[in-house]
Amino acid sequence: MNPFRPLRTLFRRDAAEQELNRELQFHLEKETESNVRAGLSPEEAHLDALRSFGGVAQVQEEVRDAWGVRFFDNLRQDLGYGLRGLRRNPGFALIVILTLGLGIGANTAIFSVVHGVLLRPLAYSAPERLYQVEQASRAASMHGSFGFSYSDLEDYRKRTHSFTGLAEYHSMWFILLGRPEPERVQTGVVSANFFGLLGVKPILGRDFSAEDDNPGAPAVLLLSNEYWKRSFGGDPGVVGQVFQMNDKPHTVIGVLPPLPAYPNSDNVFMPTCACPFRGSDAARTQRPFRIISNVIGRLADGVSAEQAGSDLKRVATELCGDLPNDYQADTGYTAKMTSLSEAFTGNARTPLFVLLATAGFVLLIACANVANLTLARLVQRDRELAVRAAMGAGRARIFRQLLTENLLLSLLGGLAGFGLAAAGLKLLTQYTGRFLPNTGEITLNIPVLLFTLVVSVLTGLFFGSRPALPATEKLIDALKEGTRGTTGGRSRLRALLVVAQVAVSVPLLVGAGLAARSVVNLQQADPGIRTDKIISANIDLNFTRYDTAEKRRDFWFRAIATAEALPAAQSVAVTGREALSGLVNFLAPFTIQGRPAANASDVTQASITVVNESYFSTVGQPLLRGRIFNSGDNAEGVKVMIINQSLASRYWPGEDPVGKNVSFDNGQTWRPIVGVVANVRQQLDRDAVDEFYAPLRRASILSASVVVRTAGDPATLVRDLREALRKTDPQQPVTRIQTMEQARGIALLPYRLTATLLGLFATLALVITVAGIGGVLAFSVSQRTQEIGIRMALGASRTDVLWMVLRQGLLLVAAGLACGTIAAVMLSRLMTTVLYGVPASDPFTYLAVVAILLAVAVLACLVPARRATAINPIIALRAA
Amino acid sequence: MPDFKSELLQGTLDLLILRTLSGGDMHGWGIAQRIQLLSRDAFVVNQGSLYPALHRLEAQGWIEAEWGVSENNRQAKFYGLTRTGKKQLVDETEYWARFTAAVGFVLKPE
Repeated sequence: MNPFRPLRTLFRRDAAEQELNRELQFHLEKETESNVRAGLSPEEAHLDALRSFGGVAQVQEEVRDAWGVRFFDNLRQDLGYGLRGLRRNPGFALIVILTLGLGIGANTAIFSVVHGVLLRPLAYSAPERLYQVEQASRAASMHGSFGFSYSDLEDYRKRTHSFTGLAEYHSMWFILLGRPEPERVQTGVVSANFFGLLGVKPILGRDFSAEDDNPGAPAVLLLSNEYWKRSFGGDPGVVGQVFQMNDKPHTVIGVLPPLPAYPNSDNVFMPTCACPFRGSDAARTQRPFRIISNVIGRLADGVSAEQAGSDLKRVATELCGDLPNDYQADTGYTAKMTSLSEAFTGNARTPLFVLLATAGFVLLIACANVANLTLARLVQRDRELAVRAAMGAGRARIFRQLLTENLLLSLLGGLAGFGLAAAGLKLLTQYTGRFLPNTGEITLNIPVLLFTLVVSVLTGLFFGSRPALPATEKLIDALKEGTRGTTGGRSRLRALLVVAQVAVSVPLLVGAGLAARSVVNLQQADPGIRTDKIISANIDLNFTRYDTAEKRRDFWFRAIATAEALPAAQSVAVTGREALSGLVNFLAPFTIQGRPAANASDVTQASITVVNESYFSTVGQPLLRGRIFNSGDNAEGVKVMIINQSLASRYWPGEDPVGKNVSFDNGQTWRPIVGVVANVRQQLDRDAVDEFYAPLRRASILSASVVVRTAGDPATLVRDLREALRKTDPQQPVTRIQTMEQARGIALLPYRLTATLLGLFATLALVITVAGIGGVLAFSVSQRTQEIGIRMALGASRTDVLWMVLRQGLLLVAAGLACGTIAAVMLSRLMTTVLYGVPASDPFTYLAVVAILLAVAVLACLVPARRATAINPIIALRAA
Repeated sequence: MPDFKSELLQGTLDLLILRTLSGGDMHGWGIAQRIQLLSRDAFVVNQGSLYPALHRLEAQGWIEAEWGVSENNRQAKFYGLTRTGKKQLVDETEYWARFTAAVGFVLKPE
């Protein structure tokens, strides 16, 4: 049977009906004619024809059935009926559509993010076979895992059997010359097999070949798609062009397709031998030179993730046995791997799922509210439904009609929700961009649209199936005067819905409360320096003009001098890295004089920051021991270092580190430690890491920040500072200028956004729930008018009535609070990783939430309770 | 002779309609008359089932309808077999033959 025929009939419906009439008319005429021929009078003949034909209307109905359009007929009827009903009751319709729109919109928006970021497969071939390989040991100072040196990587390449290959990556900033302006480009330094392993082919030109990665090979570059479009306007002629980088010509050999910003958002890629650091002899031979930040492996055919994981463990154990000087078993040295998709979204998984769950809860509450409203409306419609039942509408038909109405509402709500999601998407994308590499993939696309549709339909079915339809006999009962027979079961259902709403609201409010406390904690968190009244300007020197250490130092000290001349400047300093910037420095391996040489499992590495002597006093970082740098710590003097408290207590616990010597070149030269300063956090939500400080007077740095402590508001100094720096060198642009408080705000942003979104959702839930409680009580009071009238006539005081209604409401709220608190205790544990400085079981938050919910519930109950006390017993009784 | 009127099974009526139309295009009244005639008045086709059956067969694509002029010069809807309808008639006739034969075997006295 042609499935489209019913539809075709539907569209030429009038013509089809007319044809059917004419056809049946013709039949009757023929029959009459034949009867006349048989000898009947024309009148009798016509009557006999009609009689023998049977019911014309019935035949028509059956033919329509044969057309297969009955379903659409009913649908049209139900829709028309539903729309008329909604137009008669626009307030109800508006509230329902808005409530559902908010619920569905929240879900759509969050789902679009989850879909774009977590569900969509990565832009690599067979991404599920890709894993990030890590070395870990208890001694590592950073998160338990640490980078690879080339020697480490070679050990793993030789000894593992589970991977088709291991590719290496690290990222650095270089300056690319040959464009109108020198450009600072983030450069991914990769082994030649990197893109082949990922399954990425350049869209222009060619991939790196093994020859490109031989020492001494001509340097080549691949451009990222984004950088190619932004800086070269997507010009295909860029392939073959030559640019100067690191004093060497680099030839562009190809352009990559759009890729996720993983492991970093690099502008260009170069093979390892082209990198001045990774390509050096030291990096090739020295084991502590752990410059490789990421190692990626692809599982060989037929190898499972478990097998590969145990293969890595086996190799780690083997290495500890074969090379005990390099890998030490007693530090818990091991190797492990993480799937790429997990490595991608590790930070975002929890907040996103918390948000998705939260949005789901809001929708549940919204559904409960709408179900409640629908129930209340159904009670008012008992009479109408009874009439329809009496006129012959079957139970199924009435149920279908109610369902159609609900679906209509939920789809309209879905439409509203989709609009809301579209409006909020940009904000959300920015939000997730804070911790995700692939936010470019977040759009409202077909899967998201389908999701909204499914959620809308499910919502309609959910709140549509709840209003249990009374039995037909009971429906007919409603026709009898003054009966309220069907309301009992429904009130219980409505009460249950309120309990459920309160119960679901508790975890939402607790989540929002915990997130808000985290933000407050972070705002109050002590970064270790005084962040008020500090402004800093970041500058990347053009290294062709500043090609010697003297020139560079000269620039920085001249910059300090010009900034100091500003009237508002109290103190000026230069630092190679700003505090709170969130940037993690390259970790330098070091050795301590008088201790065994460092080995792979006992990693001694720490970040080095170059600062001038006025830095610590300018930012307010206290000196704990020894001395600060002075003008004698220059190119002619001894190379001295200052360390932070964290490094001091890790390597010299209970000892004075001042006067001890460390080396960064395997003991060829030793540098004395002259001072210990307090810890400063580089990332606001992380503890301080081990740090060295080196004196600017004998360093040679290209990128640094001029930090100014001001007397007044630092923000007013932006222009003056920029002007002062331009005077130092008119051709040297300032990369970024911001106050320390702004930097702090940026560091806080992810937490603040999580808290804002959760707070928004929780407030939404609270409002909907309170409306639900108030609505149920108000309805109950209106249903009990006569009963309350009788009670008052029998001597109940207004206070008694007030309490009666209040108690009814508060009992429901209390039941909901009890269930909700249990749920919150179980659910909030999942939030631990997105919290800061507050336990998931924080009693203060729970108490506050319970208090807030109780308070608003009492307010919501008071309105109908006061209405109950205003009932005039005489009028109420007379109405009965 | 027993009256089959009330016992005409749906599938049987479909088969009879298809067989009747294999002789050429016909309008609804003609089909009813023809079935009555060919069955020697054993089947009196009820109009209440004839027209739904015709429209169902049309929906299934076995017959198609066209407006034409009847023998008394009036507009009438004529039905005719389609290609799939002809195939269906062959299939159903074969099925019917096997069916009646099988019933016959069961009923034949030993």
